[in-house]
Amino acid sequence: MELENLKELWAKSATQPTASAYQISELIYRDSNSPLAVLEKKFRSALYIFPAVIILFAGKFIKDGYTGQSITMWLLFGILFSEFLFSLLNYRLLKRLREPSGNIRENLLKRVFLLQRRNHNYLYLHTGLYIVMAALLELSIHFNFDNTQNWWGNIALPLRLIICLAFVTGEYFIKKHSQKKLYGQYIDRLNDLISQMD
Amino acid sequence: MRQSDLHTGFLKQVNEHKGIIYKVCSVYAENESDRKDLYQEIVIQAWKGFEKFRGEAKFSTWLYQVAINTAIAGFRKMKRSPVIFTDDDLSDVAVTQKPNGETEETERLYSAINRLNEIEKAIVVLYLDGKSYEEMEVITGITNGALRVKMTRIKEKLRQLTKDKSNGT
Repeated sequence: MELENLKELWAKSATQPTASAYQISELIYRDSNSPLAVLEKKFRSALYIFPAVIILFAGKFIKDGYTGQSITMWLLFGILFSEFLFSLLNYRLLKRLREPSGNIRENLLKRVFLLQRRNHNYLYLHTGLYIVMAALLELSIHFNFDNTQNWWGNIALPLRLIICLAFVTGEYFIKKHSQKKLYGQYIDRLNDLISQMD
Repeated sequence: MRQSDLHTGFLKQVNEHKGIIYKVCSVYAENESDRKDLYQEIVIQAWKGFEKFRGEAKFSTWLYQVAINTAIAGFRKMKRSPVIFTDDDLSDVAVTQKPNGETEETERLYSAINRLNEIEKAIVVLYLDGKSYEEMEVITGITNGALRVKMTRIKEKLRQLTKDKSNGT
């Protein structure tokens, strides 16, 4: 049998009895269970953590004022704030990714572009953040901003640099691996689909 | 447009074209449970995107784009290991989706369609629905010429697959 001969039978498949069991008016109010929807929910939940962090920090900030905070507190706040920012960006990205409009090729290319740009930005911004933090730590020791960091200042400078370098490099590879785990398989699958179009 | 008008308009359009969703589900989902999940996902995505639908293209064209995009890029769960289909699995898929009046020969053809890759399946769905190459180009983004070449290859592939199955290989 050739594909042409299937057309008539195919037209009949639109009136399959099982299909009428689905209630469209009811379905549109349900929650999606797709992997992207699950991920979107995960990032949305992460957004709720930030107000809790603010409350946690607020007491200390109100008590000691902004100038009375140690570098460690600022660094911790910086890391938590950047995590919040990335959850927000991830959430927005997933909302855009889940838009299924546009032709198939455009849609696939858009998804790959958005994901690769996001992974690239995430990796470099995070690494940049850790470099800034290491620099801040060095400055605080040099200008005696924060006495709580004296232990760090007692370590010899070359060793401090080696530790910082090892930490930033390690962090870069850990983040790279986590990005691959989070979206890597999906990007590979999208690229595979794009190659099927050629 | 008011929400209630949007809702009514959407239900009317989708009910008129729901065959598109059934067909896409029947080709892309592996079993009845997946078919139901995919159907739900397509309806949800279509509803979410309906507000942005301006009517520049035909509703059926837009719905095909939403349905296929959801089926190939937004729905499938990541599998830990590759799925290897046996002939029994494929027959099962074919049995649950076959329309009335199907012969053993058509069943073989449905099984063969299930073995095509995701993009080839999309092209077959559009072809079986009688879409012109121009419409297929709008939906897939593949040029008219490339579609014709692909269609010839798909037909040959299906011929080969059905022949292999009837020979029991």
